Amino acid sequence: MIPKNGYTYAVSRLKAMANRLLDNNSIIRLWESETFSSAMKLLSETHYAQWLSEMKNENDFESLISSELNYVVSETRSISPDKRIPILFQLPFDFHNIKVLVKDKITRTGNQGRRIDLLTSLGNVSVEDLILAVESEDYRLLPFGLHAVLPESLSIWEQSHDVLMVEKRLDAALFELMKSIAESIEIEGVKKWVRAKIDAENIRNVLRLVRFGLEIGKISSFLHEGGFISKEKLLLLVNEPLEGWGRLVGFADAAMALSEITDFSDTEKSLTELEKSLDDYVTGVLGPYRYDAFAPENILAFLWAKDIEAKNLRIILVGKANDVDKDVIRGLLRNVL
Amino acid sequence: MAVTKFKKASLVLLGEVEEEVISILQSMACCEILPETAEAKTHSWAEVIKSTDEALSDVRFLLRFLEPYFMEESGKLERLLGEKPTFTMEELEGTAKNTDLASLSAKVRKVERRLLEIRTTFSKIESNEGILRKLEGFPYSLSIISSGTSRISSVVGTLPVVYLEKFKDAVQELLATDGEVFVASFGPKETDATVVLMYDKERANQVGEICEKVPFTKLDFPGELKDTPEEELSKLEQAKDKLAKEEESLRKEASMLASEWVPTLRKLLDYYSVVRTRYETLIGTARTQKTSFIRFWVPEASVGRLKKELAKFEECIELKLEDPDESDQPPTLLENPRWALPFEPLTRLYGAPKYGEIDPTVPMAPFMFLFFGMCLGDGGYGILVASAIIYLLSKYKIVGDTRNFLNLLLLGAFSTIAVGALTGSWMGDMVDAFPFLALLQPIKEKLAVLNPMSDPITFLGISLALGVIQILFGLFIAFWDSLRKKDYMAAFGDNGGWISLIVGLLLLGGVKSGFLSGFSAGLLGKMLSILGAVVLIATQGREKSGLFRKLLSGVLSLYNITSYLGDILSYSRLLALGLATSAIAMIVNTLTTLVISIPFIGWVLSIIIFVGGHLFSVVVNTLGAFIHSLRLQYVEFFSKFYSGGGKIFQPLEYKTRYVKIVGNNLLDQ
Amino acid sequence: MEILGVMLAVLGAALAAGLAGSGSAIGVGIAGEAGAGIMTEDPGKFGLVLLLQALPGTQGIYGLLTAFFAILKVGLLGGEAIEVSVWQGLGVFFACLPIAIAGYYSGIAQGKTSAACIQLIAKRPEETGKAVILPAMVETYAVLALLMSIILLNSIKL
Repeated sequence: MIPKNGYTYAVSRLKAMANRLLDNNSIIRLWESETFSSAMKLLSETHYAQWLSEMKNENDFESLISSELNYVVSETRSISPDKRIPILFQLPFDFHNIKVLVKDKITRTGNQGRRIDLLTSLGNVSVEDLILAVESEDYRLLPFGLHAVLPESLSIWEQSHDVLMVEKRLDAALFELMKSIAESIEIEGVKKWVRAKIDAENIRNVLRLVRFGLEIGKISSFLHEGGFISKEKLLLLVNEPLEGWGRLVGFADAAMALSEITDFSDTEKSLTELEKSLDDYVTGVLGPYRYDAFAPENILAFLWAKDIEAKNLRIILVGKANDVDKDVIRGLLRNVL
Repeated sequence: MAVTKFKKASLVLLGEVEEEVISILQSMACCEILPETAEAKTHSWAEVIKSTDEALSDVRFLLRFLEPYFMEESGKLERLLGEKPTFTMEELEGTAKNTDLASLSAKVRKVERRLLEIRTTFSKIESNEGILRKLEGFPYSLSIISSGTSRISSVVGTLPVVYLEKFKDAVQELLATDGEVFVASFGPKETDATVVLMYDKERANQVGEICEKVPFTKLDFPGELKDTPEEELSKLEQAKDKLAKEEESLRKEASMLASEWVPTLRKLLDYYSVVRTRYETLIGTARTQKTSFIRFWVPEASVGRLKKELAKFEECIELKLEDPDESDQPPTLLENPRWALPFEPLTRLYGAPKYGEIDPTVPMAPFMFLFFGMCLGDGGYGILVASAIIYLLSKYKIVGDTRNFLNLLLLGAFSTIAVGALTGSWMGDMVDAFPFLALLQPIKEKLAVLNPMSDPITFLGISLALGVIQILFGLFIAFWDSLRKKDYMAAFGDNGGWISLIVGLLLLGGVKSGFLSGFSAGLLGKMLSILGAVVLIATQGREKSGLFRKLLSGVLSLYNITSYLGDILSYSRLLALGLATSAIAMIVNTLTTLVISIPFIGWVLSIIIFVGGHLFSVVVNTLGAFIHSLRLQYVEFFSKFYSGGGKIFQPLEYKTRYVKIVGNNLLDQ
Repeated sequence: MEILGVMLAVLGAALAAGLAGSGSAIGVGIAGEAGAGIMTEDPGKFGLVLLLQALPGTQGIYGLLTAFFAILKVGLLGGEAIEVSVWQGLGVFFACLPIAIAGYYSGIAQGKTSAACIQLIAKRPEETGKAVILPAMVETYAVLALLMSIILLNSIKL
């Protein structure tokens, strides 16, 4: 009956840190601001102010956001009793980096510069190590089985010259890895989070690939096992018009995400709407653990909330900078936990 | 006992006076504005709000930055407890007009940015210094590493010490005279050494080969380091000095700005918040082309004042007052006699009563007073607490809830002294434990009527009896309340049934155990319990359908007697906590007398134990006494008749943090 | 064998002070961990956190109290030596058990509640009043156990 997992300090600390999350009100205030500069001014009144010196110029909000995220992730990593939880959260960023580097390697011609600006420092493996490994083609030191996945995906490219196939291989590796880590952690909410992430990725994939006009067998190979919704169920979606999707997966929580899509005629728009609803769906999976004072899930929930906050900020600030209509921005904003 | 009555007011006003009228309402602080259904907020007030928001955000930023540099004139405690300086709205408006916030905030932002830059530069310098320290003794100028010459290039990196020889051999073998290795000095415990390899640019391939043979980790070398390490180090030292000086002067500037501006900024923060609330109300009104319309709650007592203040606008406004109807949810304003005021925060802590419901403050107050005394239950501790509070109250001008709370503790302390005197407990058994206090013994004996240490059962009986009284009292309040609401079923069925059953059972129990005698008492007890039980069986199933189910729920409801039993037993904590206080005090006293026999330092130790022990004990026990007597109110007493769930009256008013705005007649409470 | 009687009483006292104290120590520890987490971010909450952290500490005091009563009863704290039979000693030992057991478990449970309430005040400082009451609900059972221990001790005639 003694909470033996030792998460009391970490969860309490994160709950206090969560007070600084931009709540719905602050997000709405940012959203309501008329211009980009007034939004930036509002942002500089929040705790993001401490990263102002990181900005390279007036418009460089990306440095603000990523400094904050980096800080939060490293803090969380240092206080989390089980490091595998933050590692799990960071894995998708590693794979993002790998995708960027692999694509860069296979599409680059001549002396064109590398797209380092697309890399994120949020991964487990430092950007420098990754670049070095890819540059020198020496993958031996990469952790998480990356040493096998990376060369493999490059050889897939050699054989097929199809970027989709490479992505497929990398995604499969990512979710395999996430699943195995989540299994080893033995924490219910973490496993659920991974399953929800897989659901979200699968549904996204189906919609995307149907739009590309791929046939069902091909699509099947892009789906990952281990979500709440089985592969078979997902494949039923392929021949169904979008309106019917919610009904087909009706038994799963993800149906909520689908039912929120209002406009099915415009696939581009429904894809962005879907992205938003799927994020909300993943957020919802972690919701119940918020009320448990000792639940390790709170660590993941906090990181995820921070990630969502960063997404929201990017949506608003990019929108403001490009004079996007307010209502469009509004439609993209994710729920804050 | 009941909460204040409210009127629902609707006010139609012409556009040209609306600003003035709202200002007056705000200064009167007696109207809670009802939100209107949101419409497009395109009125010109939006501009005012926007400019106010801008000013507010400047002020907030300035305060955030400057406050850490500000030396409070009065102590922090004093500011927390003390009264705020007073200003009129006009004075504040003048201050706002005369302050150039934009230029001030631009100035401060510059300072802040520069400070941040300095900090970044500092950390960069420090990391450079780290690199330079490693390379101390490097014979050439560092430009050979950072930029190289026309022929020579170099790499810097770290290498495990054990590989050094292999590395040198490899260089010798592959580069021969075209390369030169510098190994920085390293301590005996370090496992890695820093090495520099300089080589002919044309031999770059061999260098790559060499580096692959050993676990060589390349370091990024900062390009701005050009001279020898020693020179660079002294340069950095100078740069650091300069930066430190600049930082120092910036900080000085900041603290000068702080002492000049913080008081003003605090005033402005309050001023702009007040203004913002006002215009937010204005923009929230429902409006037509020329008129606007607001609805608000106003306490009946303030209606006269409100009408008087608004009399001069007679032609431009129309005010209509109504009583709240069923569907309304008016706010709650607690109104209590002066003596019960200290207990009011406790009611609010639990949750304010709903409009029209009973305010439990007065019924609770005497019990809370008594229970606190019984739980702490030591005359000496009572005196300690009372004197601490009297000191605080006389030293600082304390207002608001803090004052109420201190008054509550003070009352509790008095009750503690009384209980302590009656039970003969003065710092535990201090009077008996120390021979030199023997003089006081007769006085103590005279006052004491009961010693809970030797006779806990009597004290337990008193505690439980108090519990019975409070619970029955709670049931009676509920009974009366149901009558008032004309809910006779609830009054006689629920509350009456239980009262009858409990009283009857108590009488029976009294007769059986011999406390009461006489046939009539027993008979009365029997009759009351049977009556109560029958009433409960008959009424408790009234929401169920079907005779059998009605009866079944009625009979099952009798099982609730256990919860009443539990409630009453819960009052035994009065004894337990009271005993705990005396006993802890006694332990402290015993320890004190035990150590006094130690030679030389005995008396020092005993003083330390005595003072420290009793201080600890008084703090812990006061906390316990407060929490547990409060719990008896909340859990055992309130549950009988009170549910809370009301909304506290929140008038449109001057809500401030640092200053008090005068000219508003606060509601007479 | 009156020495065995005394020793049984001492065992009771040791259990009361030891177990109830352990319960409090664990409880205060849990609450303290949570408090440290909150204060890392917001050092201004020190007062409130300290208050909530102190709440699970009372079981230890109750245990100490009972232990004190028990050894006082058998005359180990000065005064004249009292004859204690084995049965009487056993009685004192049993009388100490309520607070020993309830003190241990309620201390831990109260610590957990306190920790959760500390998190509550981090999020909603205005609800401090309610946050203080919740741990006090747990303590009730320690108080009842203390009461029983004292009454039992009192009823043993030596």
